[in-house]
Amino acid sequence: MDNNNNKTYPLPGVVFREEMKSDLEFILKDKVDRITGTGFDLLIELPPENLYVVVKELKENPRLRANIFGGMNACKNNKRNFLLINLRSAYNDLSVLLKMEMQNDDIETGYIEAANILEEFYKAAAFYKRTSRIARCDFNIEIPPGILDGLDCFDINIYADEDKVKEAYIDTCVSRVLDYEFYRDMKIYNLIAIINRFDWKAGIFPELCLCSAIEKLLQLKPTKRARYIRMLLCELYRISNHIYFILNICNILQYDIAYSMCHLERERVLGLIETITGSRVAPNFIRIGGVKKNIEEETLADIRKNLPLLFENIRKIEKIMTEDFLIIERLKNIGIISKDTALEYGVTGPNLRASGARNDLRKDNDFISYGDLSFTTPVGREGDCLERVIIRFREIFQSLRLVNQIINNFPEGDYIKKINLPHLEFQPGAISQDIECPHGIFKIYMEVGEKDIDSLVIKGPSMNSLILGGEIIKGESLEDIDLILMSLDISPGEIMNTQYKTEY
Amino acid sequence: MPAIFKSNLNLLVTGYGCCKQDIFAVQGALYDIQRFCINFVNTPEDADLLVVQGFYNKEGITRVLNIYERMSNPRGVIAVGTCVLNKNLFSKDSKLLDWFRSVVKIYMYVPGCPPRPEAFIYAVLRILDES
Amino acid sequence: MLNILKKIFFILLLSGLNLYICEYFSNKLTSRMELRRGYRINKEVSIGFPMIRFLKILSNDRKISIWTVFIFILSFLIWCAVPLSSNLVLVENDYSLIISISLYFFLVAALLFNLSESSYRKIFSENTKKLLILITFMVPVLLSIISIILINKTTSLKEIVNSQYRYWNILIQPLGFLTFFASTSLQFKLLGVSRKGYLSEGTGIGREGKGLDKVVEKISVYMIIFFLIIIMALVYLGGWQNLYVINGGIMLALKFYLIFFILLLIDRIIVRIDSYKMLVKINLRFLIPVSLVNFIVTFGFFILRDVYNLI
Repeated sequence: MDNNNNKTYPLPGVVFREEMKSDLEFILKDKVDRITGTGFDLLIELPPENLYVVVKELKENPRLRANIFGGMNACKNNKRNFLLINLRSAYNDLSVLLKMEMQNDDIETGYIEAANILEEFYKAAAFYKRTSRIARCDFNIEIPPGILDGLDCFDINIYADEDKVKEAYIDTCVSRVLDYEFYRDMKIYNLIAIINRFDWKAGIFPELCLCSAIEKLLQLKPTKRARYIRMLLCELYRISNHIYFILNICNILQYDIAYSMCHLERERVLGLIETITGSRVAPNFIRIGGVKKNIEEETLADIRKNLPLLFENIRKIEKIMTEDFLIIERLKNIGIISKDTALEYGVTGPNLRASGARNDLRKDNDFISYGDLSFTTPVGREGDCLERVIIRFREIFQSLRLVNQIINNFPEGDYIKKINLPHLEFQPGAISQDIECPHGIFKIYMEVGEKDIDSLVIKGPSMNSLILGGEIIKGESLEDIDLILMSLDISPGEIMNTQYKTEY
Repeated sequence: MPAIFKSNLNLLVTGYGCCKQDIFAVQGALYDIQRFCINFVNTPEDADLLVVQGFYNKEGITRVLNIYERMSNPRGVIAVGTCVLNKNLFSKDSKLLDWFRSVVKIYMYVPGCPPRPEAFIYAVLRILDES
Repeated sequence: MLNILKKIFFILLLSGLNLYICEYFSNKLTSRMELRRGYRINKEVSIGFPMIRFLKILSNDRKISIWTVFIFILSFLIWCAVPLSSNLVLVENDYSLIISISLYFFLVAALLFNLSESSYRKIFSENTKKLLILITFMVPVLLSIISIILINKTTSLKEIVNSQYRYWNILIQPLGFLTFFASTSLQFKLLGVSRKGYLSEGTGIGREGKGLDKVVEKISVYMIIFFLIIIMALVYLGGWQNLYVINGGIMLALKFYLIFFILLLIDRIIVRIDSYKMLVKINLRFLIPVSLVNFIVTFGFFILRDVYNLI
């Protein structure tokens, strides 16, 4: 397991996936309808009554050992209703999507049944069961949604003995604001304009994910300049997101001096982003085949001027935070996540890296052109709150290094390959795309018809962090709850979920 | 003396949405809303102005109304962002928001998706001047 | 009789004025840690806002309990034995230091009892924890005060001030001053004097209570800090007669505001300490041992000098 997770260079993915597909076809011969390869994952279509057998096979077969539960999403539109379950394996590169077609309108009951079945195999699936709050009245503290960004999308019910948390239940009823078919009657360029709200701490990543999925479907490769502009924006947004994370940690710690320094640095990065995209948090900048606008030489000079200042100031913040013994005492040894727990709950990104697993999609499965640049993936050891803060600082420095390399080797050429979007015709099929966003692996699964998108499932990494957060606050004291949940860097936009049609 | 009473507003930001980070950016040293003696609080009893932003479902609107009732001396409500002004970005029906706007009198609308921090400061200062 | 009323009036006026000024500056400094654009008041109407803060809360609700009355009385009674200048003291006797320290203890205890009414359990547990930690921070204060009493051989504040005519006590008791000051600055952070809960999820004293209750708590929190600063200025930095040209009251005010500003700045650069883990790390492993060492050394010195007349 260690060998596979600590790898720096990936296996030849495509060959492996074909091999895995033939294996799966052999193992699950008569239990499933069809197995197809989408972009990143294998899509297994199966009838709902076979779910138990298939999941058991996937979990317990020594060749597959799918031990990571990625998540569960329901999709409902006028054409089809289905449930999508994501399972991964830490031992090999297996990543499967189980798709279950449902009959009309019973998708909500099917959802609960599937969650009940999955709970036997994966602990994290218990979160998806809709238990009514009235039935669980054994809690004695109810914490309403907080004010800070990241703690405002759920409420926690706690059973506490003295000041130690014994039992915790996270309810995300506030953030169920989506319609099932919000993308219907929407053109693709409209969808690109609003999809960045699914991760509003770093808005570029959902756009990039959607556009690269469509590009993969069209077999279109953007020009080198466009790819470099995309990388530049990705890294700037990553820096901005991580500074925002540290700002929120400082706010909870009431550490005012670093709080206001972080505000200044974040404004500096957002200013750079604004000169490129024209917007602070909702960029709407990535287009299919390239980007919206070219980057002028003056903008590059502006970034070049600001980089040393950013480096200096963030170094200063890091120094005053990591050399203060009060902060270290406060953050150390609380909210410890071991590597196995993190993998089991499907946590990705910096939270997983802080627990000691080397897992970076930028290295493993290069989605833009990170292969041209040199950077390292910081990996922590302890997995406590302090480690998660330190790993963000180290990622900021790596991102600054990347930005420096990008603006020094900025290629000439076109910034977009022009395509005729209204007359675009797709080959009908399913596609899934993963991307390394600042919180983890952002996943989009979509099925396209001939002209437009039929069904779309968006799954952010913060959901897994939140489920794990509900687990690890058990046994901690009451005053650390905010700190632990904030140190998981939950992006509220990714928690956004579909509304209940029926009251439970 | 009335001029003194006008100053010192306490804001309470509710809701769940992307306008929140641009509202809170106002606290930083670059925009610095506290030079106008405007503070952010997190208890409804202390708050004068309620800031409503973001996406709402039935549960969310019930909670906002609950907070509004608990405010001891409400001076007004500011609606920030397109989601509260017009309709939810990800939801087709706007019945719930129409009902909300009919129940609560909204004093100031800040357009934009999300609005810039300067726009938010401008709205709060307009309320300071008018009241 | 008239004289005493006049004194009471002056003491109330002084403490009210200080309350106002300190609230104003702590509010202003919160927004301007960076001080990037210099210190200036943008709107002149903003001068009045600390007062409005109190008045506004007062006008909303009139809930009151017996502990609120106790806290209110104690927070002004605490000044009865402290001489603000050579004339401005209500009770003059030989035990004024002990009286004032015990009043301070009672005030903190009353704050603790007042919290037992709170209904929301998370806030209740956090506040109780805060005050219990605060009570343990009183141990270094008491030990340094006892050392001072042993050095000066008196428990009257006036005589302690007068005995420093040649040099300040801080020269004899540097460790005592250090522990006293550290304890004061940590109490400053714990009581949340300058923090109005701007977005911080942490709950401060008086967060939940509303109305008169809250105002009284706020006043008492300020009075605790003022009291500690005044005691610090009198006991360690008072009565040096080489600067007799300047009035003693003015010198005391200067010292008071200097210490208050240093405390405000320190408040910005330490994180919140309301957990038992921090209590063990700071208080039990650092402050109490240092003050104990100081106390033992002073006690040995006292025995050698005054009991056996060796020095």
